[in-house]
Amino acid sequence: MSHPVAIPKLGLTMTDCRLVEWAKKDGDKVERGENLYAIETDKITSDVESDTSGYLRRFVEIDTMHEVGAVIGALFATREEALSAGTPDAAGPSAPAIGEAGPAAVAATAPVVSPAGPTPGQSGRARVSPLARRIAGQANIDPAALKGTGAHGAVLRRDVEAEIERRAAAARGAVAAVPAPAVPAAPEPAVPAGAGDLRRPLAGMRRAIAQKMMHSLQSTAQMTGFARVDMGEAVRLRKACVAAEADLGVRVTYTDIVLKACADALAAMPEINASIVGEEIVTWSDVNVGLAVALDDGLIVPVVRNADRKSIAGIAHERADLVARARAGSLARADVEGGTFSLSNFGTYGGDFETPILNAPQSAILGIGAIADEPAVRDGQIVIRPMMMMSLTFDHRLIDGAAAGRFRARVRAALENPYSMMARMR
Amino acid sequence: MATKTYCWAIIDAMREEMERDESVLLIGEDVAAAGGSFGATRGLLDRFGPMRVRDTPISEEIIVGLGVGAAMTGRRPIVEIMFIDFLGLCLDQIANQAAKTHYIYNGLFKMPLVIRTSSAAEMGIGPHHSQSWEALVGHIPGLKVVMPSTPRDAKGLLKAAIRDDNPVVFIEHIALHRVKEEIEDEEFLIPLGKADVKRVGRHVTVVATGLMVARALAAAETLAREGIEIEVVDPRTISPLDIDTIVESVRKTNRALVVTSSLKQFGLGSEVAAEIQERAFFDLDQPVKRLSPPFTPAPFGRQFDEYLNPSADSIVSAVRELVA
Repeated sequence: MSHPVAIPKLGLTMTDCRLVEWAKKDGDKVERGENLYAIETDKITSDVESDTSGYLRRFVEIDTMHEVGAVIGALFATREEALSAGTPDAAGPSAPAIGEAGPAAVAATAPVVSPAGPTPGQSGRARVSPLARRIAGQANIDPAALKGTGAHGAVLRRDVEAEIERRAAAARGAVAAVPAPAVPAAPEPAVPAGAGDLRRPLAGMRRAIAQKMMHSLQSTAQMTGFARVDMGEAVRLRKACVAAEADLGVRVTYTDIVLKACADALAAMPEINASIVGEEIVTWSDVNVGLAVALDDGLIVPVVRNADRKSIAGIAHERADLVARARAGSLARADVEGGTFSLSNFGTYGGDFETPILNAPQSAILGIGAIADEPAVRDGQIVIRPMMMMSLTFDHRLIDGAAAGRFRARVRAALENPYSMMARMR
Repeated sequence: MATKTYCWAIIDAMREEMERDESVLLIGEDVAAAGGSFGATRGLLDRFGPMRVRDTPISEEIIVGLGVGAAMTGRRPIVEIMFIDFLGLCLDQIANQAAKTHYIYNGLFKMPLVIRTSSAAEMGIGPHHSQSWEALVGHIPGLKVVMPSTPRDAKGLLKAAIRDDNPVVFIEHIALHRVKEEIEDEEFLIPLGKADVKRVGRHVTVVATGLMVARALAAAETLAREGIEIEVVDPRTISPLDIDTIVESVRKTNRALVVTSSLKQFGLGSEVAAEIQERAFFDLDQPVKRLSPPFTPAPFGRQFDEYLNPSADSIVSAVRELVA
C-alpha cells in the first residue's frame, strides 16, 4: 500500500505551482511533519510537510509544473517497496494482455501503486523526450499532462508543438469571441532570431508578475489621476521621527508616513477599500495596505495589516521587517495575501509620476514620486516648497472620478497637515 | 577527372607521396614483387625499386617494429598488415611503442608511421579475418585511426596520413576496393579528424563508417520515397572523432542512429551515442540508436556474416522506428 504525495492548495487563488525542491531522495524515510518538498507559486516558495510517515518514491522531477491535487510521489511502508515501485506510468493503464483471464485477474496483478494513488499519465514521471521537455518548459506547458504519440506513449516534440498550436488557436478563438469592439490578437512580433539571443523560460516570479499584470489590465477599467502635494510638514515630521530614531527603534521613511495617510483615508472612505468579486461588490472590513518592493529579479507586495490602527512607528517597524524578508526571499504566504490597497514608491528610483497598475482584485493603488523643491505660489508669492506628485490608479468600474478625487484630496490633506493623523491616533 | 577504384586511389596516393618525398617507404608482406595481397601496391616496386618497396617475412611484429625504427630515424614508412585481425600480433609495437613515442620523448622523436590494414568484415572468411577493430585501436591515445568509405576519401586521407607526424592506423575495407569514383587529377589532401556529410537531410542523423556508409546512402534512397530525409555523416576518421559535425547535425534532426561494423559493446556507436547525449541531450527527441553486429565472433560463411551485419534494410527499419 502507498500513500500519495499530492500538491496542496495553499491559497484561494492557487491553481498550479512549480516543484522547486525535493527535500528527500527516493527510498528516504520521511517522518510526519518533516519537510518533504518545496513549491513555488505566485512569487512565493513554500515548504510542504509530509502529512504521514513512510518511505518516499518520487514520481516527478523538480522544475516541473503541477496542478493542485496532482500526485507527485508516494510514501510506502518499506524502503524496498518504495525503491521497487514503478512510477504511475510504468504501472500505468496498459491494456490487459489479450488472452489473459478477465478483469479480476488483471486487478489482482495490477499496480504497485494503490487505487488511491496517482492517475497515470497525469502526474507520474512521464516519458518525455529531452527536446520535448525543453520546448514545453519554454512554452510553460507541463509535458507530463500531454498525450504522447511516441513509442510507449512518449511525449515527443510534435506533441508539444501540437499543444502550442492548439493553445494559440484557442487564444485566437477566444479573442475572436469577444463582442465588439473586437481586440485584434497581438501578432507575434516577427523578430529574426539572432545568434546571440538569450532565451529562458517565462517561469517563477516573472511568470506570476506577467500573468497578474495582464489579468489586471484586461479585467478592470483603470484610470489614473494625479495630484501635487506640498510635503513641507511631512518633511518636518519625518525629521522629528529620524531625530527620535533611537527612541522609536526604527528609522521612519516617507513611505511609512504616506502609508499611514492612505490607511487613514481608506478607513474614512470604505468605498475605496472595496473590490468587485464576481458579481458582488465587497467592502473590506480591514484596511490592509500592500507595499510594492522591488527585488533584483522582480517585484513583490507584502501587506501591512490594519495599518489604520497602527502608529507611524509601528508601520515603520513592520515595513522594515517585510522589506528585509522580501529581499531575503523568506516571506510567508500570509505576508502577501489579503491586501485591500497598494502603495508604490517610484520616487526611490527617480520617478515623478507614473500610472501604476492595479493589484487585482484591489480597486486602487497610489504611486508616489520623489520629493523635490519646486516653485509654488503661496499667498500671491512665489516660494520654494518640497513638492511630491501622487498618482492614483483606480478601477473606474467601482470608483468614479469624483470619489477618487476626494480620496486623493484626503491623502493630500493628511500629508500637508500630518498632525490631524496624530490627533486621531488611539 | 578520371574514374578510379578505391584500390587504385590507394596506389595513387602512395605513388604521389613517394615521388614527392624520398623518405616515404613501403614495407610489408607481398607489397613488392606481388603488388600487394589485394593488389594495392601494384607498380610501386618497378617505380621506386627494392630499397623503398620492401617485402618482409610473415612476422607482423617485425614489420611494425621496422616501421617504428624507420620512423624514429627520420623516414616516413608505410607498413601493410594484411588483415586488421593480425594487429593482435603486433599490438605491442603499435600501442606501446608507436603510439607513445612522441609523448615519452616529448617530441624529440616523431612517429610518422602509417599502418595500412584491411577489414574484411562480413566477407565470410572466418573469425580470424573478419573483425572490425577500429574501436579497439581508437581506444589507444597517440594513434590516429582513419577509415575511408570512398575512393576519393581514401586517396586524400592516405596522403594526409603519410604527411602526418603521428602514427596512423589506416583501415581499408576490402569490399570497397573495387568501388569506383571520379577523382580530380589535381593534387588534394583531406584533413584527418574531419567528418563528411555524405547526404543532407533533416529527420534523422545517421552516422555510418566504412562499409556502412554506402548502406546508409542506399537506405536514404528508400526512405526518401517515404518522405523521410536522413542526413548521412561519415566521420572518416575514427580518432580523433569529429564529434562537432555529428552534434551539429543532431541539433538539426533531433534523432540519431549510429551504424557500424564494429560491435556494440564498448564500440564506436557507444562512443558517438555518449558524446551526443553529453552535448545535445536537450536536442534529442528520441534515444540515440545503435546498429551493430551482435557480440559474437564472426562466423565462417558469407551468408551468416551478412546476416549478422547491419544491412540497408535494417537501417531503414531503425530509422522508421526513430521517426515513428
